[in-house]
Amino acid sequence: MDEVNYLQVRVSEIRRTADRLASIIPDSDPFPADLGMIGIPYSQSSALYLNCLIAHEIGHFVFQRFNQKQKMLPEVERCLKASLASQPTTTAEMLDWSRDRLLSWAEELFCDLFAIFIVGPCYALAYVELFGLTTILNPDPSVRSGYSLTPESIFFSRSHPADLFRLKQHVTLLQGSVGWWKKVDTIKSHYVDVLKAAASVLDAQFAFFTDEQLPTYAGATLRGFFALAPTVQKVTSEVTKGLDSGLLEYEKFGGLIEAHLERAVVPSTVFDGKDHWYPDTVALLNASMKFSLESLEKLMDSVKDQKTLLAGHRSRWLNRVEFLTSKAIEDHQLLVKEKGAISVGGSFKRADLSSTE
Amino acid sequence: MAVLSREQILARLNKPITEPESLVISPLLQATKAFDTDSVDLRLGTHFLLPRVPPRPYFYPGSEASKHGHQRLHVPLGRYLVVPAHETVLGATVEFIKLPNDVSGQILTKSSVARMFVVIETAPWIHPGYRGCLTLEIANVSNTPLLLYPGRLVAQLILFDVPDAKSPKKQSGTYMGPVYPEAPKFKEPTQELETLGIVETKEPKAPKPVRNRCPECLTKLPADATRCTFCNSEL
Repeated sequence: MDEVNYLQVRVSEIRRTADRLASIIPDSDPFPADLGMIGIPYSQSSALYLNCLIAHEIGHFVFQRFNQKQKMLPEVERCLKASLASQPTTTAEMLDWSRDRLLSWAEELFCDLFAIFIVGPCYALAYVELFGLTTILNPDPSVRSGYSLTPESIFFSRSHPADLFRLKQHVTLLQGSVGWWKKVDTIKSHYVDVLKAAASVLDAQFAFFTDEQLPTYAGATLRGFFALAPTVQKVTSEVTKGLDSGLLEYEKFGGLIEAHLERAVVPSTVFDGKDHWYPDTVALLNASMKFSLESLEKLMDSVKDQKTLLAGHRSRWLNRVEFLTSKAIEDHQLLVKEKGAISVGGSFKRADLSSTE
Repeated sequence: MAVLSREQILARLNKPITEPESLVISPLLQATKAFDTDSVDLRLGTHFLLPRVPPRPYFYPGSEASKHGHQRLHVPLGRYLVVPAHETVLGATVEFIKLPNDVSGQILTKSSVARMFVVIETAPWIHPGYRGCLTLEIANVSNTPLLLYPGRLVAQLILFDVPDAKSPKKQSGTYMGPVYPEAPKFKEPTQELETLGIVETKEPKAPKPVRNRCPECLTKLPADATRCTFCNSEL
């Protein structure tokens, strides 16, 4: 099943097939040159929060389309020069190998940060879930701050930075100009404990590990990437400059969205005592994720015969919360498109019905 | 018990979600036109459950029915679903409804739809406190195939106040919060009738169903398979 789920689909093959079909179908359009394609595992499709990771894949498209590699290259060279200076000699082969690593890691980190700009902190929390990173936490719930680093969480591979390094960078971004951290920090969940643990890991605790023999300068290459990381943060901020982070909408409607989910109600229209608002996708996703992490019990407690400690019961209601949120996201697309929606300061609300007949 | 007027419905919609008397209907598309004096128009959703031909020569109303009785289908807005003459399909409203604990509802086929000999709902009563998109038992009782367009108006919701209704401490979870059409949930007839003291329940004599295809992905399977070898669904 894993092979089927994670089957690699070659975009070039799809383009070729589409072009071949276009050549035999009269008046058909050619395959659009700038059409991005994203493949997701079949097993992931119904898990709402894990689909936040699609924003990372969109980041790859943006990275390539807006040529971020070229933008980063001078800083990559500078970081490499500094980190490899301690080596007895520096050959072209060494530089090529190290440059490839830095660019590959930088692209992955760019995509992560881009995803946080697009969908908010639920990306970081979904990342914790997808890679099962709660296993680093101390299993004794009385020791909330304890954690132990697992090899998988601190090892960089040839193509990807270590999971905890990525999370550490997520936290840096969330704590920075995006301003989300003050919201994340208050979520009572072990997922947030993982983020806090990641933020406290020192650069020196990360290592480079692959099955192949690594060159002697692998450690120096890694240090070069640590020096490059702030540049990746800066480049991502430039790309996303002017984009709405969604924080304001979340602050306005997050509590109301949670109040709806607590009552098993789709939160596509929320009433604030004066108007009926249509919360946007980022507010819905982040409020819903917060609700499932810290308040699912409130919903389960309102239903007959549900035991909050039973995995089967929890899974059922978590699934239902995901469905309610998915439905709200679908509804949002309909509600903001229709003529009756009124835009106020970036948010949409329903027309007042009291005066209409 | 009286029918709620437009103004009474609006007043309920304007109550905070935290109040038990609050009513939710969302999304309320074309909201200014959705209300009549005593009803709210509802639209057809995009998700359907198509009944499968049962593996036995009859439909057996047991626990298996909800698992394998239907094929899920999504019809995007702008597309249509063909319902052949004398065939049925389960759909759902676009609108998610949360009824207050002192209001019950009734869903009726819109008269224009009914005049095409299409029945939208055969279990039309909605109990106080219900929350979810309403599952529609759509039947084309005409002699011609019919096109269903998701997003179109198909039904009307009438609301009634229930005086002296008591709020239950806890809600029943059986059909709580569905956003897609839901298949019926049955207990085994034996199990249900036992509570009435009936210890022997007969079932028609028919050959045991041979499941040589997975009901989810239609992969061919050995007759004794308990799980699909392709999608791992439980059979």
